[in-house]
Amino acid sequence: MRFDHTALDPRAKLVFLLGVAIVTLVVPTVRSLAILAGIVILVLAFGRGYGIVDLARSLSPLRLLVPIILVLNSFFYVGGTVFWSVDLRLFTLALSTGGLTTSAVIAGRLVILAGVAAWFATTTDSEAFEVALVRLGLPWGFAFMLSLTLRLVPELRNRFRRIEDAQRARGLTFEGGPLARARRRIPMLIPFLAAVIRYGNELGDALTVRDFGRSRQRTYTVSIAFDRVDYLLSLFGIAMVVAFVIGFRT
Amino acid sequence: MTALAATGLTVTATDGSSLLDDVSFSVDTGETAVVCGPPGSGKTLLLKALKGLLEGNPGLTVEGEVTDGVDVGYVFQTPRTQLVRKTVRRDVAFGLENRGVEPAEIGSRIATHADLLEAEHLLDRDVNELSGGEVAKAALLGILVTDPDVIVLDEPLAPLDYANTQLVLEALDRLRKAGRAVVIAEHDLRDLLVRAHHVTLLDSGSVIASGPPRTVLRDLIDAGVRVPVHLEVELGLAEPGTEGRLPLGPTGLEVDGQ
Amino acid sequence: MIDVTDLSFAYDGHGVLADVSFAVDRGERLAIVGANGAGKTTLLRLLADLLEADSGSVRVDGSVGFAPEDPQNGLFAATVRDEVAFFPRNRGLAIDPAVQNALEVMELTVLADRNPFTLSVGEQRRVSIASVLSGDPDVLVLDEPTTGLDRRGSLDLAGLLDDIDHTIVFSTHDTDFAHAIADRVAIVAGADIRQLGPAGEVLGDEEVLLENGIRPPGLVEFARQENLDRVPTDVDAAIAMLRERQ
Repeated sequence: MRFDHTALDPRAKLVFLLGVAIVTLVVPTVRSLAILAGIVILVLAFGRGYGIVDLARSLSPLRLLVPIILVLNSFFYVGGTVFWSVDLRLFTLALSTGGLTTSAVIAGRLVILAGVAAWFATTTDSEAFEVALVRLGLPWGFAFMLSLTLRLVPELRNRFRRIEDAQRARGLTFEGGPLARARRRIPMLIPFLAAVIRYGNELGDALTVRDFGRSRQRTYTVSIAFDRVDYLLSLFGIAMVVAFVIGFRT
Repeated sequence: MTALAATGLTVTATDGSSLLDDVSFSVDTGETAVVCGPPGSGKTLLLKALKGLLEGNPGLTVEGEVTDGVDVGYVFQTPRTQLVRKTVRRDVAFGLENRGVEPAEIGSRIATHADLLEAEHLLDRDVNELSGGEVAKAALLGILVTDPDVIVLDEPLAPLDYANTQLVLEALDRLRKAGRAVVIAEHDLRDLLVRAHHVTLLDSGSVIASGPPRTVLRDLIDAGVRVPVHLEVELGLAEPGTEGRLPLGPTGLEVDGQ
Repeated sequence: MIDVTDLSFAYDGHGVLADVSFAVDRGERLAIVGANGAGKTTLLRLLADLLEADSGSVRVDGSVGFAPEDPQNGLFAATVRDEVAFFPRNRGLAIDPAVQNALEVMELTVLADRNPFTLSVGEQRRVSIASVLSGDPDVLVLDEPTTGLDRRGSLDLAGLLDDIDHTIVFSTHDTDFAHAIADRVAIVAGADIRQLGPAGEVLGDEEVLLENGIRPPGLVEFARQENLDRVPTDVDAAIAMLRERQ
């Protein structure tokens, strides 16, 4: 009885996503987060179309950030048994059980939320997402702009690369101290900003030409409907929140 | 019968420079009208005025009139900008969804018009993977399904290579044979001159010449507009004043033999 | 001047160029023609050292300057002069003479204090090229320099480029422009260089051009249509040739 991640109703996925988010915020212990992470991984693995490998790939941009967060927060949060500390005039640097736990919770929250967000974004068809948001009460224009923005990212990345080419070819380098490097960003940023502004102008006309906002009774060729799996996923999300909150209270 | 007309169109920028000066232009039903001229002559501006895209532009003052109540379809110079969905089919449906057309009818309109443009094979393609000519065709299809009275295309051939140019020309031929009113802006008329019923030449915002291709040929060449080589040669060989009786080369100067 | 040996490059798993080899002489003008997506831009970027080849090598006897297809990808300064000064400044050259020279060669002295964003397409194209020339490269690499230009603009540009003596490698799908300034022409298709030879020869072979998705120069088609012994150099020559026949 394995289901297809891409066939799930976006609303059900949103309920699950929200459930995970609530749990990460409400139960700040390493053990709970570990259990939550396990649950998320199980749900992902149970469905087809997005698995652990995809999750790992989606999270790889964080591979530098997470260790940094762990290390920095470990030093700056203090609590429980203190192993070591050094008193600098303005503040204290210390390594303690409390600090390690807090930093693990912060990092854990980040990874779990990033993981479900990546799962959602990768497995949700943008038009289905629009329809879902409309059914949930959001104005369509807003939902549409959201999905359009997501489509823009690769285009903007491409443009940035071409600008980088043009400037590197004229001797732009990225060496030097932070101040010099910041100044060197200008020949990159200005053409980019100009391109973004130009695109914004064009987009306005493009949407006019495509009859954006022409009828107040817009129709949709994509439809969404709750399946048995969607009900299960939603209930599971809600049950998860209840179970964790109760478990945490006791 | 006039499908769309602009009279006395004058567009001035905020710094006072004149972008279009008392331009009049019209296209009849079933006609292919070409607007040409060097870059910066005002072609795009004229086309935008026909579609009403200049309204609400704070940097421009627009005077003159454009026929009211005409449904104008517009294809941009970079048509990719007006493709907003992931697949061609979904994108083509976008305009009809925005107009509140029922999904069942959307489906049948797409089928009919895709057949007309011979674009059925494009429908399930990913928009990001289309070639330049395919993008132009997809954008054109998206406009065509809304059944506009006039279709306006801004420099549809400019960025395309040879193979993709052929794709778009073929689509334009189908539109013409289906009796559509089409307005095209271009500065390279090597392929369009023989497909045009009427040509308007702009330079620095003013109409320099206007008429059937045969009568404006010399003006086009003088203005630097690219025309088929054999026509330039024939014009060079002809006695001045005999353009009306210009011997016709292999492709002729009459659209579809008329 | 340029030596390309067994150059290969693949993007996203599919081969754009495979074992390409060719050489360019000092002072030569080489046109790279081919259908869109054939790999022209990739080849140029490899020549300009903006991309690293998967295998093979590009050896250039000097420095390479690259002007992108869209001049607006490089524009960032308040005046044309500042824009053109960027490259020599980065290379530590004497700025004023470099800028002055580049502006003169590209006929931009009148526009030197204008804001590049307010210029026409053709003017921006000249600014883009000037801003590469000012860095005193030995080789000039131009990506589709006639994009956005009409016939007159293309011919004007050809005239300007004719007056400089740099080695120039450029891509185009405008064979009339290639005809106007190239010494040799290379056809890129199927991840390889299909043809490389003197401009007159390559551009005169309609069949090969059409096979590879390239539009032959108008005069070449005309010569064939009228059964002429040779391809006229321009329209006036064509008129003269037909007059002779009459």
